[in-house]
Amino acid sequence: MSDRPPQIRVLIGKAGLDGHDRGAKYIAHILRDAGFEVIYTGIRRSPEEIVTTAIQEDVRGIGLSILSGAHLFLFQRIRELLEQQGAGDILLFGGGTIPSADIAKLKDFGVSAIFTPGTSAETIVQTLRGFFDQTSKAP
Amino acid sequence: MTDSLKQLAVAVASNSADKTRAAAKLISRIADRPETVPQLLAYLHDAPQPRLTLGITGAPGVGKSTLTDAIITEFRRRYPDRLLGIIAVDPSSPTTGGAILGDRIRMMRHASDPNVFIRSLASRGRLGGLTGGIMGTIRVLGALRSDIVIVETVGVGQTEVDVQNIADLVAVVLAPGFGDDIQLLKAGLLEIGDLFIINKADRPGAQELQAALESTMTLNAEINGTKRDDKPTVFLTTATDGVGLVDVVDALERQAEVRRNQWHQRRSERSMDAIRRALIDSAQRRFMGALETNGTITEHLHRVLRGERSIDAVVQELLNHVASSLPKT
Repeated sequence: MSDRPPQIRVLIGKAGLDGHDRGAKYIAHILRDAGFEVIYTGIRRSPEEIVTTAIQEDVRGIGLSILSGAHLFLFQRIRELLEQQGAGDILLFGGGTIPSADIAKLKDFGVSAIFTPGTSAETIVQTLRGFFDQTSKAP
Repeated sequence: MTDSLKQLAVAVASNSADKTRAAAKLISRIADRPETVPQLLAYLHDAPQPRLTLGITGAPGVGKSTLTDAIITEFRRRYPDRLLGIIAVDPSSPTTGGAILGDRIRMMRHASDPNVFIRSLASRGRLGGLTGGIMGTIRVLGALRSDIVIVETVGVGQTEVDVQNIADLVAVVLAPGFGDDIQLLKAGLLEIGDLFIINKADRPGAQELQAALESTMTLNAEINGTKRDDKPTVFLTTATDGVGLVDVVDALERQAEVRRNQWHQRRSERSMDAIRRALIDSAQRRFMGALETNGTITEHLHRVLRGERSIDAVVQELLNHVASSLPKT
């Protein structure tokens, strides 16, 4: 009984002013089908709202779908707020129209993965599972 | 991740800076292992408890989350310094175990309010409208110093009535267009409401539903011989615009004042029940564990089957055997 793994919970949402949520809903759906508990926050959230929600919901990761071009600012702000609140262990990942030149920058300040359009559901689920397995083993 | 249940409980009950995160982690721990709740009750024995635990239940789509949001707004207006704890339960997929927890979307205007702690939980296979260990989650939010804890159930049918076992007061939410007055005579949900809220009252049929519900209540009161004044009140709200909420919250406050002592006693009884169940589970596990390692159980079952021994005699024999072989812990 004591080997039952903890249920993986993730937050999926959209920050900033872009309201196209089909991608976010798609990701929420495939993660649900993969057995995750997905806290879906809907569109137009501020970084502060996302971080407060992530902490109260005790999620292992935050996934943002960003189509507005504001990805650098939004991810950096969320990363800062997480660190400030002692929640730097929560993973960040994202998707949407993000230029490849920016992906390296995002990874530099701690975004674990960016899934660009066309990434298969299977790849996304496997990549995330890989991250969460690693973090559960860490002391 | 590796903090013990006790460390987390101590952090929540203290006034430390990381108590919110500790509470969130403790709630995950309870959800993953509801069997730890009785132990948690002991760790939080001296911690504060909420003044009122309000259950909100009703069919899918009647506006439970929006109503919860409106109740939060009204309580925050009245008591700017007090904390509120919200637990919103949504269904888990019976096939994959996954869930999309979306009740929070209706409450996002409170997302950056430090005095409102909202937690979404998945039902994880429980059928009564709630999830395992919810009593522990309420205690954690109480220990965080929530003045009021609101528990919103999954969208329920007629018989998912577990909420009455954990809440001080239950509000049953209805909306126009969900059936005629015969539905109101059926058993189940309508029996557990301390108050009834007809939401979406700006839609056609709300007044008719109110009249039908009130006449059902009067009929029930006559049949049960209760005083007419004690029958539950029916409120009309339009939660999206905050209409009718002042009256609802006034009624909640009145009940919280009048019935506080009664609730206090009922909460202790429920804690005792949880511990009693945990004790029985643990005793049963140890009893059966001792039997199985001993390998004698099949032989005993055969003897009963062949009529050589009564069940009582076998139980007595096994109790003696287990008592002498149980590991001392």
